[in-house]
Amino acid sequence: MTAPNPAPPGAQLGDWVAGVTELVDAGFDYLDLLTVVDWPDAGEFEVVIHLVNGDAQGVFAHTRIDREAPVLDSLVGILPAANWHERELAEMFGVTMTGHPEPTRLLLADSPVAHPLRKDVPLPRRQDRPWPGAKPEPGRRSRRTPRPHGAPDQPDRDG
Amino acid sequence: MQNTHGAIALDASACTSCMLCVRECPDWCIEIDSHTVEVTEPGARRPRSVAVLDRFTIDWGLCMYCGICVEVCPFDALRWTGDTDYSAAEVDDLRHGVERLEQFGTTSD
Ligand code: SF4
Ligand code: SF4
Repeated sequence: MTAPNPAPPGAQLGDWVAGVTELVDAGFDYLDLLTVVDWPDAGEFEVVIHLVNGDAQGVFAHTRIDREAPVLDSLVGILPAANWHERELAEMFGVTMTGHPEPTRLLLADSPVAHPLRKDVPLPRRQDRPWPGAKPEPGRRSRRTPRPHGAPDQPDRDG
Repeated sequence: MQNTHGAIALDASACTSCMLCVRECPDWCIEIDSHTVEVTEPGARRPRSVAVLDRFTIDWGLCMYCGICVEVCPFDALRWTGDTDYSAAEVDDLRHGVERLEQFGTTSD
């Protein structure tokens, strides 16, 4: 059983570009954050944006896209600063950014790798290195071996 | 210094090697080796096990400065400092042991 996904702050946008355009037109024209939250159990990605206005007030908004065939309309036309954020999300989560002017890799090497920020992609570094927390603390009597949070074969205890 | 922080300093004398920070760190930056010794205090009926910290390292090449280790330490052995001048030419030199971790925050900036 999984807990229901906590709703992120801000409005859920039906039409991503139109909704963000409304916020930009209302003065929230500084892009502070654009990211994706992976909800594997729900089969969805949640795209989250945080915009700031000239009075340093912020507003969140979000939208959900299908995790199996993730496609999102690019915001670069209305928010040029979204360019690198969207390229990062494209490679880290495998989201296709429709209408992006430069849909190439930004951070990762140009070799076939999985999208490393998807929760079901094991990090190779974690497979060849033992978890430092597995060592027992001094005086531990319990025989339960501690496990790292978020390891693929054990759900994160918070999620 | 406000709204900023630098390195995390260790107070090894406060650390009980409880492993909480090691286990909670999302980036696996912290490694601890420790052992226990039996100490019999005057008047005590039985010897007491005391943890001795042999090694404590933070790998700044992995750390993302989330502060979870500072939050989770029940003994306030970890604390934020304003020190930011600890870059290194080699990745291995970003792994600091007790000696360097204890020095953070001791020189005023
Ligand atoms: S600040 Fe975060 S990433 Fe860095 S050592 Fe502490 S828990 Fe790990
Ligand atoms: S949580 Fe604190 S007391 Fe426990 S091992 Fe880490 S630094 Fe030491």
